[in-house]
Amino acid sequence: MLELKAITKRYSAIPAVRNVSFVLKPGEITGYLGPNGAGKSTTIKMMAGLLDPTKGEILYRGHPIHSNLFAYKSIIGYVPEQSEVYRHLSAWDYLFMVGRLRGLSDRLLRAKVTDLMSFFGLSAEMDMAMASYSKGMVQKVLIASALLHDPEVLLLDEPLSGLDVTTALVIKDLLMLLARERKIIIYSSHILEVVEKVCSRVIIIDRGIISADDSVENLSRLMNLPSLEEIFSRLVVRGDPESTARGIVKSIRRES
Amino acid sequence: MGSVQTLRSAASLEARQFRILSRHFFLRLFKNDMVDFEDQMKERIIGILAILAVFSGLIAYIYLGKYGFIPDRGQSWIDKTLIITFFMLIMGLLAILEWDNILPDARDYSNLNPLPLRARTILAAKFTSLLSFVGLFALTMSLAAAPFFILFLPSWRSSSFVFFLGHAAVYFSIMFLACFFGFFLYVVLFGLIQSLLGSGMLRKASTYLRFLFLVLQLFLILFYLRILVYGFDNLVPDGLATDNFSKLNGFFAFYPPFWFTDLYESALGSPRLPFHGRHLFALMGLAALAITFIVSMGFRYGRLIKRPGAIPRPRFRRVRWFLMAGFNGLILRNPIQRAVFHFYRKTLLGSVYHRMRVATFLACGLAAVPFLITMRAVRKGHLFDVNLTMLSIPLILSFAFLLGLRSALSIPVSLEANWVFRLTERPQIGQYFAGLRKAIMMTGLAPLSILVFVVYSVLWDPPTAFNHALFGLSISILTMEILFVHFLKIPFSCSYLPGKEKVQVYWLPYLLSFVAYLNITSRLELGLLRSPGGLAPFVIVVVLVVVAIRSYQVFFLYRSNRIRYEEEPEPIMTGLDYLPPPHKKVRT
Repeated sequence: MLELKAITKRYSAIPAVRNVSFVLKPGEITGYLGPNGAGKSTTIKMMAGLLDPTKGEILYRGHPIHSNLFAYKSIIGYVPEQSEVYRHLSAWDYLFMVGRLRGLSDRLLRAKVTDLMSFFGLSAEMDMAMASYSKGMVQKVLIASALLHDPEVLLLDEPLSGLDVTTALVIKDLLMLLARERKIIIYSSHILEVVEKVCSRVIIIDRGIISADDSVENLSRLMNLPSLEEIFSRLVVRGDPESTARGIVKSIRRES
Repeated sequence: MGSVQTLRSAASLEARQFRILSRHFFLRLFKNDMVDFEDQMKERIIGILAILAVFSGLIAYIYLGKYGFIPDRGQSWIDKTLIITFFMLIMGLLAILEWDNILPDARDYSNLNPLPLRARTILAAKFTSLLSFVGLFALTMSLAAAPFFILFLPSWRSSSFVFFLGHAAVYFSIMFLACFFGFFLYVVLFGLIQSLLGSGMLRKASTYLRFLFLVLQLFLILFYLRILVYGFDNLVPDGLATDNFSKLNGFFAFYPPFWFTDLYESALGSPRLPFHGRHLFALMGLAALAITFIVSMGFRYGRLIKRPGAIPRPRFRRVRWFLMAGFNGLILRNPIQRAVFHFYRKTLLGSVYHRMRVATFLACGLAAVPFLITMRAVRKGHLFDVNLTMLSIPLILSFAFLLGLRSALSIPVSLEANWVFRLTERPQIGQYFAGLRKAIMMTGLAPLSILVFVVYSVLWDPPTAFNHALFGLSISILTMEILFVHFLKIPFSCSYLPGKEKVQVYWLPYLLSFVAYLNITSRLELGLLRSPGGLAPFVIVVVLVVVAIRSYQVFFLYRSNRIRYEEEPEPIMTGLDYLPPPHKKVRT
């Protein structure tokens, strides 16, 4: 069980996340939703141990993660929002580096990396520097690097960003299979349809504060709205999207 | 009427594009793989120009200062040639530093090709930016030397103001042309190599070629400084330079500063020089360089348009895997060590910036080697003696390599990607640095020692060469341990704050320490080689010191510190760490 207790994070006095609390259970895929700048990535980075909360604590199996951060980091897999990798390395080199840093043997890594690259359709390109990869290809490498060591907790920040439809379908099925193996999975995304299909529970964050935390069915029943998109719009969207779109068209047509 | 209007607006747009691009290309010359002026660009450029101006003025004073007191009876050409040589050497060095930014590259192609720009606008802007670059440096150096050229020298021929003005115009024009030649000689060479090798081969060979040219240019500069300090003593056989010009004809023909000296004197209508007529070489050379540059630039851009971003496929993958697996099993048994070792290796292979940083330091060391040898070249058989000069060469190379590495390792290759090290960090800090040490050993110090053994076996006898290589390796390992004793960063992954070394403040102590280091170690080695019985105890002492350093790291440093990912800024104020005595402590 991974528990966030009254977590607050401030960047030079500007609050990014305010008093956030929730519990992630094994076997559950939790969707983490919110508009840009809501605090999703900051929360996930804190859960990955990459950022320290300004206030509050994160507990894994009842123990603060910072009490033994090395042990905690060894059981998590993290896919960051931005495709931040060492682009001068090839996918093969990168995955080997990550695997070795996690203490995996070369023999095991060779087998795992070869398989994963093959499943993700990157066998032909795995020796090329990632500088020549598309965004989707880098995303596949990041997903593979998060899964290499068979983690107990998966922290996914926009994992489908840039992926083709086939790979996205594979990832959705993969997440459901991993959930069945009692992994703890948090899935942050803007793609509401995927969250609606894959996640058993949804947390919506806006301006650093949790505004909803329940299953899609319960939220739908409570708010009397048919889809997650409408729930999200009701809770988060400010202003009229149509009039904003009209404003943009008017702006680009301006001639003087 | 309408079409005239359209043509006019198209020309106006193109002129505007040309201006914007020229400025853009000019600024890019100050932000590249070897010189990154992103931070405080203007201040740094002014600083460099000021240093160049001081040097140029000083050199002009050394060579031409005397003509304020003694008349120039036609003998000043040799001094002018030496000053022109300096200008051309500096411009050549700048061309090597700008190596990758000289011709339009793939980045230019990918950014500019989607825009409505004509190839001729891009190429003309590129050429103009390079001309402006040359002009800026040429003007700086010429201005500093101008008082001696346009006040001292013409005063012996005429006191007319018009004559002075004409002299000044000729001086500035010829100096600009000489600088243009010095710069574009390397530019054209680069263009030709690129055309011959193609983009793929060039990508692989570029650093090595650049490194070779850098060594050559630094050697020439050191050689020039030697002439500046000691004159031509022991370099040219006595009397040849002054008495027998016919024997130097070949040299006159192939030494461009003579061409420009002749051009300068011919433009002023001075009496004929011993190498009169070479000014035509200068004019033909300039024309040839300009034409070749434009052709090679067009060829390069055309090639980029036809085949952008071609990526070479790796070969012999299975053989490489097999060899690497053997190496890993033998040398790198710990997975963390493997990760750090290969990250270090791949980064040096993949990042031009880091590779060139190490190469620049190494080039400085390497350029000093032929310089040191030629300094003593008058003595026959000097190479085959066991002497201080020959002993110091490997020490210079290993020190330059380690210093370059220390500098390059502190600069992140992609700071935003270092989350992966943070996320996978394990408590065994020592393993990260053991991997780094092995990487430095295997990729630098060990190959250097083997090379030293082979070369010196040819020059000397194998047992002495072995002892020499062993001593060099011991000292290099010791130097590595000292340089990296407090290095708590994973290579290329910690943020970097430039200027922490404070080279501009501490350059003199650094230089003196280096000279002392060389003197002490090479004298010690000379003593040990004369009585080889002392070598074994020396190696034991080095091993003990290394063990002591390692123990300090394992038992103290690594226990109280973590791996560093953020460089700490220097304090705004440095205190004296004053602690009040116990009886004055304030009780709270």
